[in-house]
Amino acid sequence: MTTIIAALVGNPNCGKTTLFNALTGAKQKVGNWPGVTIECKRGEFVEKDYQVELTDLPGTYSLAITESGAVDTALASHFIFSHDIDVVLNIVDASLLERSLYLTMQLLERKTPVVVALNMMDVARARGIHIDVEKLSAHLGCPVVALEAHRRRGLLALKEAMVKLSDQHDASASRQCKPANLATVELRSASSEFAITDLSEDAALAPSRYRLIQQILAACVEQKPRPKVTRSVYLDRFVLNRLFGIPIFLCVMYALFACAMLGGGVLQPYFDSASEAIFVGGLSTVLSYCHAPLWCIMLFANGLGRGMNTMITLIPVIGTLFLFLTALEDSGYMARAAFVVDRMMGFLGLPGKALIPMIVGFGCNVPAVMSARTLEYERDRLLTILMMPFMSCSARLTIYAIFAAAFFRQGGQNIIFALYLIGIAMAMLTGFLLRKTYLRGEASPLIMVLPAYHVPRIKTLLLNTWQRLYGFIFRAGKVIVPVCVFIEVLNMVSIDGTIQVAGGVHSVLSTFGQWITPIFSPMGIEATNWPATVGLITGVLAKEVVLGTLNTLYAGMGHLSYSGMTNMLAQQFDGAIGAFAYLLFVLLYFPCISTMAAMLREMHRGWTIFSAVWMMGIAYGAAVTFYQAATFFRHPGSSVLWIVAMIVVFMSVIVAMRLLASRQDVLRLASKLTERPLSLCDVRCFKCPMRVAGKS
Amino acid sequence: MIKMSDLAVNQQARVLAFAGGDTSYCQQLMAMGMLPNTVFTVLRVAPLGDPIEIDIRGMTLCLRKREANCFIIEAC
Repeated sequence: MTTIIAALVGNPNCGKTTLFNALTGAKQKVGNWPGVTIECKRGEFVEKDYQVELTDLPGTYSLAITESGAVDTALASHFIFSHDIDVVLNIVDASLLERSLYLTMQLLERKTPVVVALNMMDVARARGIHIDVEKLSAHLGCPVVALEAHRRRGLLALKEAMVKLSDQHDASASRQCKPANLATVELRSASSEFAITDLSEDAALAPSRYRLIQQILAACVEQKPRPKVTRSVYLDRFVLNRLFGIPIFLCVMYALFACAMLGGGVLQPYFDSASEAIFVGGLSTVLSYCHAPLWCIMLFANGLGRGMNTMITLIPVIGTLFLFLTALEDSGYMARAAFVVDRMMGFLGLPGKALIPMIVGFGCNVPAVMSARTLEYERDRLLTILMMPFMSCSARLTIYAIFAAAFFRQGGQNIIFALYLIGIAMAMLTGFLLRKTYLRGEASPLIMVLPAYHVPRIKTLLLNTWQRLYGFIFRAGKVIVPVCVFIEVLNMVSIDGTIQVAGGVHSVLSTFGQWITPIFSPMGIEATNWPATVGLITGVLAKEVVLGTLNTLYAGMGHLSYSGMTNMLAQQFDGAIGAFAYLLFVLLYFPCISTMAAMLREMHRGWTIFSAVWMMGIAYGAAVTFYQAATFFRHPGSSVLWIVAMIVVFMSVIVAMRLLASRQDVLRLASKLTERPLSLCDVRCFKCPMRVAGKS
Repeated sequence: MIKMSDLAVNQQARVLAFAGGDTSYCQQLMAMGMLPNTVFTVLRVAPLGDPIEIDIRGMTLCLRKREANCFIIEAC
């Protein structure tokens, strides 16, 4: 069986993913392109004696690389032009033929073996556009196949055309597919082997390309007078209305949030108890039945099992959120939402699209970090992910609720609301500082096409959600589980070497907690309240674990009569002020390990570490400043010292960031002057994943 | 001469040239059909007043006013 290497390229929103799914089924591999967090999907199918390996390239309107352009265009261009690909499958939106054929022109000029898949034939027909497919094929000089990908019509013909073309391509060195009527070919000799680099040269060709397209269209396309108002236009009159636009946006976001939280919330306890029963309880029973030593039970059941439990508990929330996010994306509303709020996010130096991950963050930070992928530019994505963990997630809410019950009997809701606002303010502060230092610049330019509305397809929804979950479980899991094992082991081993399964008062972790508690004394945690410190450490696993740890340790300390969680809290913390300082810290400190794992997958490691350190610093600074200011009259001298110290440290960190950033700017400038453009250098490093897998 | 940000809804205009600005932005738009001598119509303005949606060659495009000001246009 011969292998054919094929690439799928086309404009955004022309049904590329639908076609890819229809061609390859569920046999897909989703990964990242080397070096960048842009999804690389590969799939395969068999046609006759050929095995076709298809790579789904990012959607793009042009293959010309621009220096500050989006990296996905550069990626598509490089992939097509610098690897020997047997067939390029160019999917074209039949209802927007003029714009779509621009990409086809660029491909044909390079004498790339192209099969044009004319998708959305039904939409074109409904709009009164009649396309003579054979004539179009003759004019373009390459096979053209009419297609309705979502109805799976035309797939067989398409597969045949691909195999046939690659056959011809193999048989003769000079390709069969010779652009017959392409005048532009004379304009440029298709000699350059690499991606189009000369910007002005490529841009100068744009008018002649469009002229040619118009000639071709005049010969092959018949446009009946089109119905005045299509369904999308009609809907947009309401959805993008100047009065209703924002209320509709808020309603949709509320619905997304309510549905996802409700759905996730209902399923979560089942996932939690089931996974605990299997991986923690079940495993330890089996192991003890086999007379395994205690350390073995502890390591596997309580360490590994607990890690699995932590991860599995997040599945319902992530799953439902992504189900709804994909539905919004697929229906065409997401682009409209970005259109509606773009101005508002402009104040934060971010495009409108960045608001959706932020809102998702209030539910759970993990899918929020993962959904930042929809942003095209690296800078926007980084900024969004770094601001995200300050959004107070629902796990943090459970902690607030218990503390509010203990300390703020009246007006607890105001305290909780204030915490949410502080989180948002800190996110904005972080964004502001980063924009002034490392991530300088304006929001990336907006060029957006609002896709036509359509009903989301179940298959797309499920497949996309599954791919996200798969990424979370098998990639993020690699970080989550070991950290859980590590912390659980520390929690169970006593300093004298014995093992206690309950995670008691004398564990290594507790001792460590007692040892570092003085660090937290400026924010009101007394040495006797060391369980609060240990809670912060275990809270790294998942923020709600703080409560479980406090409960266990307060009970284990023994000198408290067991009288309910709230009473214990009230005795241990320094009144409402101490409690609020602690809550501030819980809100702002280290993102939970699952969020960190997601961040590691989406960003450079350096940025993830920066985020963790930055959040720790902000949390400590905010909690200490608040506590000292609130208890000012108890000890004015030391309070002034602490507050001044915090402000000085904060200011010097900002100055240091500015200095480092400007040094980095100089370096970047220097490399720009001496070397080739950055974007191109980056692109040249991309390996063709298929070649590695396929032919080695 | 008018600017992109001066256009009202349903107003038509013709692209004349580019007045500098972010070249890669202009090139991207050229690839999408925003070429000299092309006539376009403003379809709508976003609720908060900034991005506008235009109809060009029977296809739509959303642009920010400030960024699109790099096009020199004339009303028609």
